[in-house]
This record gives sequence, structure tokens and C-alpha cells, in this order.
Amino acid sequence: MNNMLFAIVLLPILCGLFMFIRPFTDRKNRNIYVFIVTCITSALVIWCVLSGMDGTLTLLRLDDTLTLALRMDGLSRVFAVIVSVLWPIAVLYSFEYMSLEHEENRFFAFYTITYGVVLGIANAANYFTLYFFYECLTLATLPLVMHEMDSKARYAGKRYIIYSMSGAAMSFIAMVLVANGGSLDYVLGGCGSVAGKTAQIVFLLGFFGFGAKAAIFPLHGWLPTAGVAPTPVTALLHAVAVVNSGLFAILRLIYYCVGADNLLGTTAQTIAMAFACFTIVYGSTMALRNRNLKRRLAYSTVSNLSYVLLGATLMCPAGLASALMHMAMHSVIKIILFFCAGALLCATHHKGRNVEDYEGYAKKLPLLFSIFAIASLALIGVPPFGGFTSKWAIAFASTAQGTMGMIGVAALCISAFLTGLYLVDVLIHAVWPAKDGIPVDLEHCHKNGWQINLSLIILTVLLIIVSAYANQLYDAFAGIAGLM
Amino acid sequence: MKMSSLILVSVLLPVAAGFLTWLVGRKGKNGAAKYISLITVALEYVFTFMLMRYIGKNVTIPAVFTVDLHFQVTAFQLTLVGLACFAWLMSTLMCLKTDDQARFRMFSLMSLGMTVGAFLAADFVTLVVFFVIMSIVNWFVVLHNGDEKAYNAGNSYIGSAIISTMLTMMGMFMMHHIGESLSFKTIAEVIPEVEKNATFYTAGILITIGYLTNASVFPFHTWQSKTYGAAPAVGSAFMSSAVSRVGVFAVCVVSTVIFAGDATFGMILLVLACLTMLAGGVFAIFASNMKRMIANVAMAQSGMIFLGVALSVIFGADGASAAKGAVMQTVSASLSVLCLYLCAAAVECKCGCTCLNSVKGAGKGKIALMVAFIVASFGVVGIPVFGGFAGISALYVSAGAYLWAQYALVVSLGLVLLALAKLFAVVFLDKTGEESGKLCTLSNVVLIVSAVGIVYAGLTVGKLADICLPFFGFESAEYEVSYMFIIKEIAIAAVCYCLFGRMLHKKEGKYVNAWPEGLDLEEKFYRPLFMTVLPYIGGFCARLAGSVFDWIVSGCDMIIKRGNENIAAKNEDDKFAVYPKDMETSRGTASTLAYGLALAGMVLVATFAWVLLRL
Repeated sequence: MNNMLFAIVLLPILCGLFMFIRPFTDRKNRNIYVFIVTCITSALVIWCVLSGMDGTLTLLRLDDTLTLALRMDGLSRVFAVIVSVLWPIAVLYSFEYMSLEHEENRFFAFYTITYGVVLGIANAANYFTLYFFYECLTLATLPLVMHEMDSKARYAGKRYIIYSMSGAAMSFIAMVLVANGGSLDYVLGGCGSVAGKTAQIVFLLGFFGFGAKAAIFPLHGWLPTAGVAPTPVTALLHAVAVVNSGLFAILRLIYYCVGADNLLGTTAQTIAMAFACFTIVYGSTMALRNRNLKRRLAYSTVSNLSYVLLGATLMCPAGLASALMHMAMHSVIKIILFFCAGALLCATHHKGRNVEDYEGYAKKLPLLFSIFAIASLALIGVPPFGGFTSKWAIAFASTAQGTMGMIGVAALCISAFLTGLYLVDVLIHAVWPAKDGIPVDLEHCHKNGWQINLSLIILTVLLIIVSAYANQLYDAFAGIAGLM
Repeated sequence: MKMSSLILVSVLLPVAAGFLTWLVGRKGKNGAAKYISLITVALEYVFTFMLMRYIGKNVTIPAVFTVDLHFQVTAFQLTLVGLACFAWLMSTLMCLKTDDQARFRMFSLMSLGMTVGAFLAADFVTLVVFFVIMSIVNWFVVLHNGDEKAYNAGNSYIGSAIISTMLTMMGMFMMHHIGESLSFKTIAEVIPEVEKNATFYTAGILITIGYLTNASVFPFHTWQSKTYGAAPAVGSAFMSSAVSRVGVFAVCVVSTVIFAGDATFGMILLVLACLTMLAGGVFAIFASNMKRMIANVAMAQSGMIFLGVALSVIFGADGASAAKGAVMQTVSASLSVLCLYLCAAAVECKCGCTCLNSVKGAGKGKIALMVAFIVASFGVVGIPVFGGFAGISALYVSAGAYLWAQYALVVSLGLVLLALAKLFAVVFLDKTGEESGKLCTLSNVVLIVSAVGIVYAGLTVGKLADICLPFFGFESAEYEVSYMFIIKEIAIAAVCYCLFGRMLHKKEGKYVNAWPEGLDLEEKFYRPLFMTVLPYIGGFCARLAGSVFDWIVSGCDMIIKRGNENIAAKNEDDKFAVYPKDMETSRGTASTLAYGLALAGMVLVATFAWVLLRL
């Protein structure tokens, strides 16, 4: 049964590569093909999760330490479920969005390959496997970032690959240090290969190495720049695959490799928490400064990812559970917000990019802005939405960590305030246009098609469902973290 | 019905009914929408009575959404719920004949549900959950008129609500760190053992500031006159008489649970209460809009409530009569302010706005309106028999230990008396205005009923306060009756009229707001601080920090390219992964980056296939 793990990784990669060998000439056939592949993969993932398989599948053994192996444990299940639930919806959205773009075959091929690679990261049984798929992810997503292939897209791609590769280099050094100490296998509580100062060095190298993808300050620069990519890609980067891979790798590093007990109360923990706190406020401030909606959301992602990192660096089960909670909630919320931003671009045929450009648009696009409002409230952390529960959990876990924890809570409060400002600002422009400003011209605003609308509705329903079961979800994450 | 079910229904029924009225109202069935909202509010009343048998009990409702909710029923909390129900019932009846109010009705009902939830909270978590939702829902009530004034007021309201919530939350998390719990009961048990250090005071004061903002206490009051001035009068009625009492309730909780007997906290609160009373009175005199004037009167009344709360904290075990005064004042102020706003709603209905220049003589020939206005005004300034007398009398006597506080109370009452007299003169006596049409029977009944409520409160509020006192940790208490404050306030009103009477009069036939623009705290301090100074500093620091890494990269770049002149790098790149010009004609995608990556992928797949075969 463990072979199924290999199948869920290999199927999307193979099917994606097949699209290079036999490019589709008919859009409808290609869309059906991509959707079926994605849905089958997601169904297999859900089946694997529900079947509760926990064996290890060794694919390749280079020596006693370096093995390419897959395993599905609690943490894997969380990430795999997030990815497999959101991916088919993202694909559905992409069909309509990309119909206005070019090079659709190339886009969908890499989009599908990326799915397999991310599942590889989710199910990596050890540091080496995760590192391998992590590098593959950079390569698979690079063409997606550079999809437009204009000078800005190339620059974004260059920046993305430099940041990612530099980060990966740091985490590679961390891997070598861990391998030197013995095992690279992931074990809850730590693999026991490193301790003392070495553990701190490994942690800091890994934290900032993988942190490049998790957009920790000062390695966040690639994320807002990558906003030039088509919206399904930015949504994928910001909400589902890439940034979550960075977060996931850090969670693995802390709780399954170095061991939270080795880091609790150390200077390394304080440094990591300080950077996370700073990034939380920094990201929100920059989001408020930016008028371009996609860039604003990108900086919002920078901030929210550090919420997860703050939870992760608390080095306690409650911290891990709250980090997982916010990772899940943020994924759902942010993909909705990005899809709304993309839908606005479609509606305006890419003419409006700034917040002011959507003055009075809520009248023409009520569904879109209703969904945007719901997601905004959730991201701000207004009860009863799930964003409240996850932020609450992080803040509560932080209070147990002394001064640095209280600084974290203060950062959360400031950031929540700024989040309120930068998201409500969008809604105010859209719902209540300035009377003395430029007259609202809604003639250039077109309604979106069913695929975009349906994907947004499904995601919103999903958000409401996860909000309704937020407490049960937290209990499940607490179980994974060893709290229960 | 079980206690948990009863509370859950009390909270959720208005929310559900709100959606229903909106749906029905949108389909043009305004009649049905009106009756749904009326029945819902009436049912809330029934639930309040049913909850009386659970006084002294707690219940936890496991989370359906977000966190577990903890509720408790005490006489004080139930009194606040009853007041809220009365405020909503009167407001709903007042606007019953108005059509096209689907959105307003929805948010109004939702606001009721959230306010009831906040009043019945047994811990700070539950309180803040309902407080946040309530603030957002009321934001839409403020925005209802959809004009420039409403947007401006809405921005003020939501801005202050977000800031106050964040401050409260920060304080709560710190308090949880100190007390290991956020339950009122547990904190009250733990606090005596806790060291009263800077963290403790910071936590407590942050929570307090958050809720003082909701209760519009000086200097956190700036949102309120704008908000109540811009919202529909019926909205202002329930917001000022019930919603703002959530802040009062929360500060009462903080005073009894966290700072019980803490003289330092009590003194800070006392100073703020006195400033609020005085500021409310002064602003009321200068206002040129009926709703704003009443808002400032309401602010002064809030100050009086906090005067009682502060004195009860300072006096510790001897603070029963001050606490009783606070409770009595809470009840009577709520009813009086509600009645005044209902008068304003009646005037707004006839004149279209509540600007003093538009409402001149609007009350002529409207007996019910005049009676209600006079009764409410008497309640506010503490004339015997009417609601406010007992409370103000108790507060006046209690404040005797601090003469400056007693003077602040009397001066505030004098100013409020003067402001209400001016309003009465404008609405009922001004001969330059045109007489507007008569009020409908329902409006007259609503006005009379709300006025009767004030008189009834004047007769029974003492007994009610005794029942509520256990919430503050006291048994029933006696209070001294004093009539001196009435003589003093009339004297002060007369002196103020002689000194500043000109400001009350018309200039060139029009009433103008004589308050100097330079003293507008929001426009001159808060908005520049939060909208310009802090964002600038934050943005500057963020950009500076964000550039550091780019500078390092640029520095490395410069070192590498030393000697080359063209070293400036744009945020664009024409060369990275560039394709040959003849790519499409000669070799297809063979020389592209994508092709290279695809090849790498194929090798990867081949490796996997090999691995698979070996398994």
C-alpha cells in the first residue's frame, strides 16, 4: 500500500511531462485532461490520508544516511490535505484565467508537475528527500513565475531562483551537519543527530535557508516581485505550494530533526522569534504602503507566513499546533484573496491593478466583493472566522514564552490592526466610491465566467466549513503535535 | 428551556432574524420584514425574563465556531440585557413605518444579538468575541445614510473600534500570562496573590482603555459625536443607550475583578470620569446639531457612571453607595438618552435632518414630543421623581470626599442643563422655523412609553440597584439623598448663560458650531497621528529595513563589476533565460529554459522508473 505514496508523487509529474511530448491542440481536451489528473491525484491523497498508512517507502538508498524515502505521518497529512484540496480548485480557476493568456500548454504542464513535487515534499520521510524535492520545486515553479517572459517576469524569475537557491544552499549545509551526526530521518521530537551549539547552528541555517521560501525578512524580496506571474501562479506561490513548502520544511526541521527541546530557551530561538516578529509587522506595514492589490496581498503573505513561523519557533507542542492551524487557515483565505484579485484583473482586462482602480466596482461585481469581504474579515481575525482561532492560538501559545512571546503578541496585535486597514481600504474603495474623486466608470468592467465564480464560491464555502470546525481542526493539529 | 439553549437562542435568533428581514425586505415585502424584526425583539424580552431564574449560574457553550463561549447570568448583566431589549424595541417601533430599511434592520438586529452576548459574558474571551462582531455590525449602521458625513463617521468608528480591540486583546493576553485564565471568576480569585508590577498594570490598563473607548470616555471619545450625529437617529438611540453600555459593563468587570480596591486605578478612572463629564457638557453647549448635542449629553452621562465606578474602587469595602449610584445612573442615563434620541428620530423624520437650523420650531404643536423631551431632560439633569435623581444624588454625596470631583459633577450637570434648555428653545420655542407635520400615533406612543419608562425608573431604580450590587461585591446599600446639587447646577447653568450666552445664540440668523476647529482632537491629533505620522515612520523603517538586503546585494554587485560604468540594476532583466530570436522557426522549444527543465524532469522520471522497477 505504501507504493501509493510513490504513485501520488509520480502521477502528476509524468502526466505533466506527457504534455511536453504530446502538446494538446484543443483547449477543451487539455483542460479535461489536466482536471482529471489533478482530481485523481487529490482523490488518491485523500484515500492515503484516510487509510492511515504510516509505513516508509524507500525509493533509493545511496548510503546508510542518504536515502530517498517517502512516508505519510501526521504533519505530512496536514500539508498533503491542504494541497490536495486546494489544487483542483486552483486548476478550475486557471482554465478561465489562462484563456486570456498565452502559452497555456507550458503553463499547465509545469502546474501539474509542481503538484507532484509538492506532494513529494509533503511526504518526505527524511531531510534528504525533502531537500531533493525542495530543489525540484524551485525548478518546476521557475517557468511559472517567468510565464509572461517579459523583462519584468525574467527579473522576477532571476530573483526567485537566486533567493531560493541561496536559501537551499544554507539548508544544504544544515543537512550536511545533521548527516554528520547520524540519521536524517524525521522523528517527532528530533532525530537525535545534533545537540548543543551544533543544534543551534543547524537550526539557524535551516531556518533562514528554508525561510527564503517562507519569505522571512530579509529573504522575502522575491515574493512581491513574483507577483508579475499570472494570478493562479501567485496564488499557488503565496497560498498553497511554495511558501507552505518553506514553512513545512521549517516545521520538520524544528520538531522532527533538531528537536524543539534542543532549541527551547536558546539564543537561536530568540533570534528566530525576533526575525519572525519583525517580519510580521514589516509585512503588514509594507502591505499598507502598497497601492497595487497583488503586491499588497504579497506583503500580507510575508506577514502571515511569519505568524506561522512565530508559532513554530515557540518550540512547544502548542506552538506547532497553532502554526499548523494558521498555515491551513491562511492557505484557504489567501488563495481566495488572490483569486479575487485575479478575477478583478480579468474583469478589467488587466487595466486596473491599484486599489483606486476598483472604485465602485462592488456594484458591478457584488459576488466577488462579498467573497473578498468574507476572506478579509477572516484574515483580519474577526470571529467567528477561522483566522481568529488560528491567531488566537498563536497568541495564547506565545504568552507562555516570556518577554519574547509578549513581543510576539504585540506584533500580532499591531499586524491585525494594519491588516484591518489595508483590507478594509480595498472594500471601502469598491463599495463606497469617493464622491469627489474620478467618476466611476463601470463600462470597462466585465463579469467573470462560471469557472472563476464557481472556484471562488467553493473556496468560500470551504472557508466557512473550516471556520465552523476550527476547534475540532485545532484539536486534530494538537494531536499531531503531541499535545493530546 | 436549558440555560445554554436560552442564551444561545437569545444571541443567535436576532442574527438569523436579521438575515431573514434582509431577504424578505429585498423582495419588497417590507411589511413582513418589519413584523419579523418586531417579533424578534419582543421574543428577546421574553428570553430575558426566562433567564431570570438562572441568576447566579454559569454555563459554557462548546465552540461551534472559534472558541468556547462562557456565559453567566447576574442581576446586573440581566438588567443591561433588559435595557438593551427596551432600547431596541423602542427603536424598532419608531422606524416601523419606514420602508426601504432592509439593510438597516438586518444590522440592527444582528447588533442586538451581539450586544446581548457581550452583556452575558463570563470571561474576557467571550466578551471580546461579541464586542468585535458588534463593532463591525454597528459600522454598517453608522454607514447607513451613505453620504460623505456617514463615511467619515464610519471611518472614525471602525478605526477607533479596531484600535480599542487590539489594545484590549494585547491586555488580555498579558493578563492571561499573569492569571493563567481569562474567566472573570478565576481572575478575581487569582489576582490577590499576584504581584502588582508594571506588567500587571499595563495589562489591566490596556484592557480598560479598549473598553473606555467604546464608552466614549475622554480623551478616547472623539468618534462618538460624529458617529451618533451621522447614523440614523434610531440607530444612534440603541447605540448610545445600549451598545456603549458594553464598555461600561466591561470597565465594571475590570474594576471588580482586576482592580478591586486598587486606589491608583480608581484615581485614574476618577480623573478620566471628571474630564468626560466636563468635556461632554462643554461640547453639548457648542454643538449645532441635535443628534450631536444629545451624543455629548450621553458622554457626560457616561462620565457620571464612571464617577460612581471609580469611587467604589477607591473606597473599597465602603464603596457600596457609590457602586449603587453607578448602577442607578447606568439605568437612568440609558433610558433618558434613549428617549432624547427617539425625540431626535421624530424630528429627523419630519425635517429630514437634525441640524439646529433645520429643526427650528419643529416640535411646536407636538405634545407627546414635548413631554418626552422634558421628561428625558429632567431625567438627565436629576430632577426628583425622574430617573436620574436617585443616581446623581448618590454620586453627589459619594463624591463629597473629593470636592473637585463633586464640583466637576455639578458643573457638568449645569452645562448639560444649559445645552438641553437651548435645544428645547430651538425645537419648541423658536418662532422663525416652520411648523412641520404631525407625528403618527405610533411615534407618539413610543415617545410616551419611553418617557414613562424614565419616571418608572425614577421610582424603582433604587431597589433594582440593590439587586445588582452583588456583581460589585456588595450587599444592598443605603444612599443619602441630596437636593443641593440641583440648586448648584441651576446656579451654574445661569452663570454659564450669563458668561457664554452669546455662543448659544444665532449668528446672522443661523446656529453655528462655535467650538474652535483647532481643538478638534480627532482632526488635529488622532488622524494625523494614525494616518500620517505613524504610517510614515512605520513605512520609512520598513523600507529602510527592506532595502538593507538589497544594498548588500548591490554592494556585492558593485564589487564584482568594479570598473564597469553601467552598474545600476533596474527591476527588469532582458537577458535572463532569453530565447534566441529565431527560436520559433528553427528549433522549436529546444533551446528554451523550459525545455532544459523538462529534460531534467525526464531524467528524474527515468530514475524514478528505475527505482520503481527495483521495488
